[in-house]
Amino acid sequence: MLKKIRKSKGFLFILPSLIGFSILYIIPFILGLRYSVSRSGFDNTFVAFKNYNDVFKSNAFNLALKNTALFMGIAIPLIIIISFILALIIYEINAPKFIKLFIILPMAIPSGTVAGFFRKVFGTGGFNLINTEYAMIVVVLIFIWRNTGYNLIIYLAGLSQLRKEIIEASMIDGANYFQRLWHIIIPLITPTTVFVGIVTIINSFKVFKDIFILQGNYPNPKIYMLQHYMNNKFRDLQYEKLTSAAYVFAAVIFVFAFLLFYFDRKHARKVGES
Amino acid sequence: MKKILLVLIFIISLLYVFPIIYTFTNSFMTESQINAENIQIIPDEFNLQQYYSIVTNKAEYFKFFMNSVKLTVIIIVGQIVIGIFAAFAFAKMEFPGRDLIFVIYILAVLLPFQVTLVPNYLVLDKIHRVLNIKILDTHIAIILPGIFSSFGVFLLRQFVRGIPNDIIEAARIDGAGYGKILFKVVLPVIKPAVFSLVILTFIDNWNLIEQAIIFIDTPSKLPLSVFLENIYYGDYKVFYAGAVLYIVPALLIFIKGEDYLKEGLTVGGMK
Repeated sequence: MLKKIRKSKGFLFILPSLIGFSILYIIPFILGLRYSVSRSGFDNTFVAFKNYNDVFKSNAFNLALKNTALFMGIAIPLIIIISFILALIIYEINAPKFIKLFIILPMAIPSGTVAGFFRKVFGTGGFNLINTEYAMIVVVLIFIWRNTGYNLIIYLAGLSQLRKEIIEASMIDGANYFQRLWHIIIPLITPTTVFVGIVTIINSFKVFKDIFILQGNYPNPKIYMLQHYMNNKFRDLQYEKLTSAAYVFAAVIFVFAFLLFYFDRKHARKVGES
Repeated sequence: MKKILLVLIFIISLLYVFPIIYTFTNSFMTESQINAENIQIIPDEFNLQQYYSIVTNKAEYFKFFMNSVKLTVIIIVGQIVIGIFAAFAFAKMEFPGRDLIFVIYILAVLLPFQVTLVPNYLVLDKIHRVLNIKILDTHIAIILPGIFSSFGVFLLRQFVRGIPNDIIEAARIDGAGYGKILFKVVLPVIKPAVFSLVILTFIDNWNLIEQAIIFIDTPSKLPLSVFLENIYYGDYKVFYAGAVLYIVPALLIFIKGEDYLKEGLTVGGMK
């Protein structure tokens, strides 16, 4: 009896959160499924996978998918490598605190406030890239500029937790720095890298903020992303297309996340941690 | 070697602050210098006129500024109040379906806003029609999804999990109820987590864009994060001054709370 009361009490504590979360996230997510198999947002006729089919055939969606994949494929590995190298240097030479602060500051800067700078440097005043076919370079640079800080903080925390004995033992064995880096530091830091990967995926969607501020709803086609596609379908009231695209998008993200978790587990088993 | 690396990382760190410094220095420049072809970083003369004109002529600037303040503060407070109870329950109490529900919360953290956009819009529209409460095109449409975003629950729960069960059991034996344990035992311990949630939620909502461009139709209700754009196309000079005034609160909070960021960002890695 007592246990039962305790159990229902737990439910009571999450209830406020759960009600709001269900109404605003879970129920919409499930209801959306119905839209994605209906003729339109205003006509419930069941059309099975027609909308998914249409979406995959549409040029705009394919362009958006291609750009988003290209962006993630380039930007995510690049920022992980850059932030790891920067973290390693800061950690090894014990760099002054302000250097770390400088690198993490951009994450706090609203997109709209630095748009003037980016328009000038990558538009009229410097390297005129934003209106050319190389616009994606600008987006990748802005993404790296804004998000290195998150990864740097996580990597620095990971590096400071490495066990010193293992590294010292390898020094006694005569391993040079790069051997030590390759055979000891990088494998030991892998769980951190997996976590950095997840954070980076989440942050990669926020690059839309910067693109939208720079170029609005219909940007240079080279940087037209899935978020633009979905926003514009919303504006055109094509809910069935939007929800279909959203589920494709969500499925890809979940597969990505699952692979990362799987890799993490496998790695943990290999190095004997759990 | 160490010196070379130090110089190198110093130069790299300058690249990271350069856009911020540029925005600051441009806010003091004359219009002709801002419009110069090349990139100028040092003002020819120290000009405060645009700040003056924001204060005097652009009372509307502060209206948008206050929109941002209102949205950000309410979302932060709401997310913490609701999140603390849920986080405590997920970490330290038992109820049916707990782990499954928590997995759903985590998955929701991963999704971009656009994925639940339409259904979200329709739910808010339905609430309007059934209960006759206007939500779309009001700040509530942004505040509600912000407060109930699962990120806060996720982050706080990871911290609460780190508190040893013995402490909570001991308090129970002393006769404390769950509510008392939450406020007297758990809350003092997870203060750093609450601070880090404040900073992370602040960063996100001070740069609020996606929700505003979908849910808000009336321009005067936009947060400054979106409206700054219109100032840019209206008047460059005033834009830079307005941008600086908008950056300053973010910088202050960020520099003050920098140490808490580490806690907030690394906790997700805990099992």
